[in-house]
Amino acid sequence: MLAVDADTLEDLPKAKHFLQEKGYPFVLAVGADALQKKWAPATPGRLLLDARGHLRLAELGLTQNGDAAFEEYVRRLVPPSSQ
Amino acid sequence: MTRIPPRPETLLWDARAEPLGRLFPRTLGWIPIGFDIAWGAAIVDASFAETEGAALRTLYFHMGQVQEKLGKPQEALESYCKDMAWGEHPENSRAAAEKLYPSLPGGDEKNRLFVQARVNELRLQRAQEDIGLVQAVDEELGTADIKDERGTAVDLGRYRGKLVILDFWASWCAPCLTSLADTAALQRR
Repeated sequence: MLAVDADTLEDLPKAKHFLQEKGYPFVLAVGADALQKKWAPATPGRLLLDARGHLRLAELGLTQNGDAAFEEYVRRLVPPSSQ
Repeated sequence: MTRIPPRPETLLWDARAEPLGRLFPRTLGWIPIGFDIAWGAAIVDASFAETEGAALRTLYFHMGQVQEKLGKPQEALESYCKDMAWGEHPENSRAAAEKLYPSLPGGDEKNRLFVQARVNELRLQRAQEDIGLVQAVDEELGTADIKDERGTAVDLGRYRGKLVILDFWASWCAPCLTSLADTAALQRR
C-alpha cells in the first residue's frame, strides 16, 4: 500500500507523523501529479493495481456502501491460494 | 464501468443548488451608483449564463473582487475557492484569498486549511460528475512520477506480482482519514 500525500511540502512532516501515530504500515509517497490529474483529481482517491502493474480500479471519494465494493474488487484480483 | 453514488454526506455542495442566481440580483442591488460599470455588465452577463458553466469559470475571481469591495469577505473567499477549483485565475484567487485570511475568524492557518479542504471538496464533486466514483479499467500505468518522502523516485515495478493500492490523501482532508482507515483495515483482512 502506498499512501500518496497531497499535502504541501511544509505539511509533509504532519502527514508522516499521522501515519506513524495511527500505525498504518503504508509507504508514504508524494508527487504522482500526472496520475493524480488523470485518475484522482481530488482526494480521497484510490487506485488499485494488479500483479502485472495494470491499473484495474480508480475510486474517487467515499462510496455509498463503505469499503465493500472496493474490497470486492480486491478479492477478485487476489489469487485463491493467498486468501 | 461501475458507478456507485456517493454517500449523502460526501455531497456537501450541489452545483445546481448554487445560489449564484440569487446572489447576482442581490449584488446588483448593493452596487452603488457610479460603481465601475464594467463589473455590473459582467455580473449581468453571468446571471444570464448561469447554466453555462464555462462562462462562470472566467468570473469567479472577479466575483470575489466585487464581494470584497462590498464588504463580504466570506462570500469572496467562497468565490476564490471556486476559482481555485474550477476557474481560470487560480493563482490570482489564491493570492487574493491569502490576503483575506487575517480579516477572517480563525486567522491564517485555520483559513489556509479551510481553503485547501474546500477547494478539494469542490474538485471532488466536479470530478465525481466527470469520472464517476468507481471505474473498472485495465491500463498499464507505465512510469508513474511517484516519489518517496526523500524525493527518490518510487519504482512501481518492484511491486510486480503483488496487488498495490495507491491511496491519495491529505492531512487536512477529513474523508481521506476515513479512507486511509478503510485501506488499513482492508490490508489487515
